[in-house]
Amino acid sequence: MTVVGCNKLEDFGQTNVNPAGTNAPILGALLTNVESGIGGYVAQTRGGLYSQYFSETQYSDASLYSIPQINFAGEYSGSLMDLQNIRNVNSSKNMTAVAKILQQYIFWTLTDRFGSLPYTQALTGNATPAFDSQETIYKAILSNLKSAVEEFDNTSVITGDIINGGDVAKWKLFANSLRLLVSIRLSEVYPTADGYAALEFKSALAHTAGVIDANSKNFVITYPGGTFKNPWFSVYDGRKDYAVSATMMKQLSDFGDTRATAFAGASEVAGTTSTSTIGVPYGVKRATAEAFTSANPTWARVLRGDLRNDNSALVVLGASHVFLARAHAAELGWTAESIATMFENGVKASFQQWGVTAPASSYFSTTGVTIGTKGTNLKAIAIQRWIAAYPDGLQGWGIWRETGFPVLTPAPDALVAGTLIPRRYTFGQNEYATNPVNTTAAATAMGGDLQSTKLWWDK
Amino acid sequence: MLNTGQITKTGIDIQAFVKPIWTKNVQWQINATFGRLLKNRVDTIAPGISRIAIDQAWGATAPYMVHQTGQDWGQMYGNGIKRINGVPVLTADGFYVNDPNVYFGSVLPKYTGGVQNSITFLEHFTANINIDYQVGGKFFSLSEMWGSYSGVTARTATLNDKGVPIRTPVADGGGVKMTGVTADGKPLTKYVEAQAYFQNLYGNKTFDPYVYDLTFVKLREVSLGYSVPANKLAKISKNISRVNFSLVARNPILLYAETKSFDPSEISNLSGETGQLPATRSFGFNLKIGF
Repeated sequence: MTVVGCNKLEDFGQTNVNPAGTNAPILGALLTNVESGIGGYVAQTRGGLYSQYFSETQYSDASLYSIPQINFAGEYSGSLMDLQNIRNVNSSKNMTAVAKILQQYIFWTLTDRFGSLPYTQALTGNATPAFDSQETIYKAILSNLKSAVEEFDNTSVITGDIINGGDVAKWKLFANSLRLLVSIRLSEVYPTADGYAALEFKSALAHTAGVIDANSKNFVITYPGGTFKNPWFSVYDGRKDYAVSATMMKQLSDFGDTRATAFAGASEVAGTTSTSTIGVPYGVKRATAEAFTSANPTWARVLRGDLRNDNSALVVLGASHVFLARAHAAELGWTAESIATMFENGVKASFQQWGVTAPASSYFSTTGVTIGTKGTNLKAIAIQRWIAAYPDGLQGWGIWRETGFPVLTPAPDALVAGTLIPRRYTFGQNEYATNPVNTTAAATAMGGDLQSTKLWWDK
Repeated sequence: MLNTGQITKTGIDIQAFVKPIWTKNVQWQINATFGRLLKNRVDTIAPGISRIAIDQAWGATAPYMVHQTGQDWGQMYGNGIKRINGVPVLTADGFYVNDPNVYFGSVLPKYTGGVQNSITFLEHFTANINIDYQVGGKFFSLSEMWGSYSGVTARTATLNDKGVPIRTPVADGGGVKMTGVTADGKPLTKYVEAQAYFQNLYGNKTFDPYVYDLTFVKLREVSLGYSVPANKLAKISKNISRVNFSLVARNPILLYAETKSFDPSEISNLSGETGQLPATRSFGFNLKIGF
């Protein structure tokens, strides 16, 4: 009555050979696959709910702080592994450098969601990789971005690059700009002008290949529509689960900020041009949210309809983000750049990015938007960074955790009364299922696998 | 995708035929089966892999099934209530605390089997009574989870230990009584609002109340048939050789189930059900005419 199965992989004969599979990766296809998914990082609603860009209109859940327990394995086995395959084949130095840069972007968004994660032992075929601390990951990201820029040979062909069209100069701009945003995130751990973060920031800013300083140089995904749609189109494709929050609409209204005409539409239908100023209350239970939206049918949808067509462009990293990070660095004394100039450049670039008429000079004398003496401007800069990053919720959430601004009130109807805004996601069950020892060790090292556990850079 | 792994399986299957009554007028045969899985051990999975998650009833947060080397095939783990020495840990407000790696048990029952009764009486009548049963094993019910979250299951309208409906506000003596310990192990008893209780079971992903026992005994089918005798048929038509009429009831009664919620004999996944439609009871008749 004993059944003995196959003992070794060889025992399965040819059954593990897929005759329809390819053993030679098509690098261009891998790169296209990854780049077509990058917009997903800019359209993650959960971060936007934590940073109060958005409110939930009917299924109140994430904004009431249910446990954000998310499996990250798919991002490793998907995009990160595709990019690793490009790096492993290494048939075009330029593509290898592009793959390395995109991996750092993805790892950055990952570690800002979870904290400790597999990095050093990840993507090596090790099914149970050890986790690295966030400090290790950040330093590796910055070091890899720096080295990747030097690894372009400026001749080898880049195929499948639907974002930058194989333009090496644009990839260098992206990598240098990313270094600025990643290093400014460490401003609370390394605040001083001669600290690690400031040195990294200055090194990137001084690089001869430059940083993104005009909207024409933005790292932007231009969707063709059809099969590859702008992710915000998909969010409202037959649904209307998300709204612009009252928090965001009030902030814009307080500043008399005309970006509101781009940020909020009165209809979920793509292509429509009607705008809305009616933010939906944040962090309220379903009944309250539904009562509000039925009483206010033109409540604010995320983005005006014609900015979320299926072929609308989506900015991942733009001039406004970079200028405002430079204003922040100048405010910290990391650089000698003019705080006011960088600040105004950033704000104006943000207006321009959304096709909104440039702000009148009076905008910069509005309460909360003025730049004074160095050391008094963190709040104004942080709030503009928060507005400029919209609707990229992961960035908005990161900026709030990094700076403490804008000052946000936690959800009044949190599932567990009194729960504060989450500081991280918790590890998915899948990690405990397949890599229990390392997952548990990482959780312990961070001070618990909780949504309230602060990340290394979050003081 | 890889074909890999080895399991060792040992079990007993017993089949018995009994003819308690066998006379000219009544012939009753019982065919009973009993299966007992003694061992169902996962020996190896693949080089470097000792545990894989296989089946998940729902989403990324419902309890899931794993295979782990050295354990039996099909163990259920996942989000449940954090406990200290078996006692639930409660937040200061009295809600359960999440533990993402709770062991719930095996998804396979210990015993399975059935009893088939076939009775022929008065020459032309046939009755069949079929019973299925199984004992042990666990499953997760998504229907119960969302049903309770939304307040449509019976459990959301029960009485608490004071005899007051749990839906009555805590201030008026209602609410769900929570008994456990605080994070540092001090006893804590607290009443919480019923809606908050059920929504927090989902929000905190403490799914223990939605993991059920697979044990059931079910009357799977009952039928009663009559075959028209040949001599009577000959009087009606010489072209008809055979007429049989029967009444059939499928799924008439769930005789016993350890869980009073979702019917455990009808789950769609290995580790649970995902908001599937409940099983239906059907009554019908069969008329067979042979020419």
